[in-house]
Amino acid sequence: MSTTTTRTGTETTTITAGDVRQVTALTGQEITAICNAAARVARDFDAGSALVDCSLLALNDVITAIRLQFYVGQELVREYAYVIADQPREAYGPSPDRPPLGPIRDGARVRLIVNPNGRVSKEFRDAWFRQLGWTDAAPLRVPDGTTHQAYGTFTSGGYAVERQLLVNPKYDRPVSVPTGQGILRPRKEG
Amino acid sequence: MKLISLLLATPEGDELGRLQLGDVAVADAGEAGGALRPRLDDEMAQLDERILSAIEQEGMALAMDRIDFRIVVSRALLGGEDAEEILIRLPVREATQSTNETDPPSADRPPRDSSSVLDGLFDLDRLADGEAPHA
Repeated sequence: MSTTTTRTGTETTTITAGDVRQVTALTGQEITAICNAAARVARDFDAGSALVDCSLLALNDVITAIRLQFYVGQELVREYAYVIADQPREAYGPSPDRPPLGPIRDGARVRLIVNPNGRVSKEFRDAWFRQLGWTDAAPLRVPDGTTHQAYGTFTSGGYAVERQLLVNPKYDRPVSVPTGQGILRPRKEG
Repeated sequence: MKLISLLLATPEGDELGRLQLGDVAVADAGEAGGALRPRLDDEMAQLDERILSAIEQEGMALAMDRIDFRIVVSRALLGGEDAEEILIRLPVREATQSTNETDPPSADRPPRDSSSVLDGLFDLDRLADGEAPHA
């Protein structure tokens, strides 16, 4: 059901773009802070235009999550996931300029992927990804016995993303949840 | 809440006029309330319909594919934070325009010169003079 209000007898459709803009702006701010902190491995990584694309994809319900991944070879080192919530959430967690940080080993690379929304047609999703220049990304290997940690949410109105951190225990502390297959914009790799 | 206006232009970029879109409003952050998760797919589909209907009522048709159209609309919605209204610039062509330039004009479709696409559209010069647009 879309948000509608009635004004002088005429149904007015309300577009909640402001909430999406606010939440994706906070997400972008945090991703920028993470990349700045990992500048040694992410200095050539341009997240800006990819994040603009992510805002467009989120506004049109084409994606369910944005994932910033640091990896070595085909193995995940650390992942920050921003999972679009199915229902309104309370905001909590650190401010976007103070995300949880950790060591990123030399030789690691960085990429930004999104998860397609299975509730919209594949044809529609594919048309969006093709038009914006995104391609399929192979999933990274995640060690067994790992766990993931939700460390906050960004919210605006009824729109929210849950912030999740995955860390490869080989490089830090235990983590979990396979990263799954995603859509990658390979030109954004650092 | 912000209103949406369409700035219609030829595919070559010549501005034709401006239309204010009725019955649609864009909520600023938090303005739509927080009780429900917005159904963005429905909202955007409804916005598509309103825009295409408004263009059609002016005797014109969109001159771009649907995904490009959505991208243009979405960029305008996401970029309009500080503006008083959301302005969406769209390329259009006459709805009756033949795709075959050698087709003769038909009896029931009289030829239209390039200025006829301005019929019914608000004049940009009058807008600059402060006159209200017609919807």
